[in-house]
Amino acid sequence: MYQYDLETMLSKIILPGLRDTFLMLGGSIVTCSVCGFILAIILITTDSRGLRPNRVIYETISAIINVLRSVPFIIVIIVIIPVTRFVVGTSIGVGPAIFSITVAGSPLIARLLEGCFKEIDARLIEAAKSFGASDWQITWHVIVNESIPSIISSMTLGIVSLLGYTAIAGTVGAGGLGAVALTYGYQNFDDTIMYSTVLVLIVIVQFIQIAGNALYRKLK
Amino acid sequence: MIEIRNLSKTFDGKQVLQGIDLTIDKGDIYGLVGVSGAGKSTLLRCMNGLESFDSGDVIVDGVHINRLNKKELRYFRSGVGMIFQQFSLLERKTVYENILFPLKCFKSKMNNVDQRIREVLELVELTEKIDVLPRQLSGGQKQRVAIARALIMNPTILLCDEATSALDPNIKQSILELLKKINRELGITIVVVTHEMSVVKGICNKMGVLSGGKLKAAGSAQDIFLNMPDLLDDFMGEENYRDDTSHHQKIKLEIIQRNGENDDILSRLAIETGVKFELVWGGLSKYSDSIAGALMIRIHDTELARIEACLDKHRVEWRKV
Repeated sequence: MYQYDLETMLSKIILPGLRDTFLMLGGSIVTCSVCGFILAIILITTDSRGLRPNRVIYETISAIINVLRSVPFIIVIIVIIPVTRFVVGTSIGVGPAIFSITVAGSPLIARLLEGCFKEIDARLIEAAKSFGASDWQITWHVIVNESIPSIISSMTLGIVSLLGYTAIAGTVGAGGLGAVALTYGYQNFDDTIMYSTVLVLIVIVQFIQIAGNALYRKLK
Repeated sequence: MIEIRNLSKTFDGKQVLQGIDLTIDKGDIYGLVGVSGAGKSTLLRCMNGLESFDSGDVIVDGVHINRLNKKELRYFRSGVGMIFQQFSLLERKTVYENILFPLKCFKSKMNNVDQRIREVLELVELTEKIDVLPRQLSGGQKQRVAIARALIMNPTILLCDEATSALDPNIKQSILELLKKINRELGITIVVVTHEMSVVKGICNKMGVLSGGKLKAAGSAQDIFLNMPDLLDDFMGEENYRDDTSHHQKIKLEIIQRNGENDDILSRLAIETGVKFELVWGGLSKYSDSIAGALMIRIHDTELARIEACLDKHRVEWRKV
């Protein structure tokens, strides 16, 4: 076991890890939100009680989401390595990690957002129809807009899950705080590093939750 | 104005509407009544194409609405306002934005949108709430906003789906007055779906009685109330009470219960006298310096003697009101 002094530990190990974590988290929030949002809109529209029911589309997307959601993330990363290599060019580093997290995280975000959209009272949608709103206007102005507060709550939950995914991605070569805790902390028996990274992760989660709650209160 | 011919609809193998023939003229306030499940809300939704139907015709202002395509139907609907039991306002939008929404849906190039919104708000007497969110409004105020929203596109018809059923009696009355005013001043034809007889009595000139998806009677509200009370009894169930159309005068009696005595007096009255009476009010009342329970019943004056005898027999305190 090699003992690092505090300054080296912070500047050479924790901070670069933190930077990678933020890169992965930020990147995957963007990609997962976009993909998840689009999937959720397709789901809510093609649902049997949706604006344009379409069993085939709904069931197909639903099945794909269920498959991806039922495989543990660590397995997903490994299984899709060939795809990751093909798309990103490599399977090691922040970029491939974002890709893997997107594959596993988008279905999660899609289900969370679908849940938000389903909360919208059908009578509200009917009212919008009654004065001639188009399907697109109903989707945007009624379904999405009215569920913004619950979208915020769900996204807070989703982002914390994505942070967990970044740590798992760290175990297979993505870097970030997860990799730091594992390689420097666990495998090198360095409790200081181990618990410092845990502390940093706790602080990040707290921050996400507090920010999410504040935003929820503001937008409700 | 609205003509329905031989309209039928089945849903999940169940006949929801069956051979409905109905004509609503311009300027009518038409009441569609029936118990829940009678098909009245479905019929109302057939009038603006929110519900499709299997056979028959719905002709509004000469337009066969089942022949419209999706886009034409949207434009058609902008000329038919609708309000609902649960108000159905966008909770995250202000009163102003809620009323603006229909205009926005048609990218209406209406000049002075602001002025128009103020106009309809003035009509529903809610001008001071223009920038308020719906959650800060009472039920009656929310329904006023919904009415303003329904009127913003200058409709010729206003459909009301149990619009007053979620409101307190006095608020209900004020909304009914507002609907009357809209009918009178703007000449808008109103169709009201309700399970409450008081609503029909209050504002409708014509009515149709629905039961099990069939139209049991249709015509002038007055005629139906006066000449077919049995039909209303049959099809409205407990919601209905017969109006006083006889020559007998009705009188009110207040029965006073001190110290919780005679708490079974109503059933005794009913069993022992066999007289039909109407319970008007019940609760706690203050009598000079003490508090007692009180029940107010309404009976025909011809029945007074029998009721009096029964009340006296049980030594119940009462007085004529």
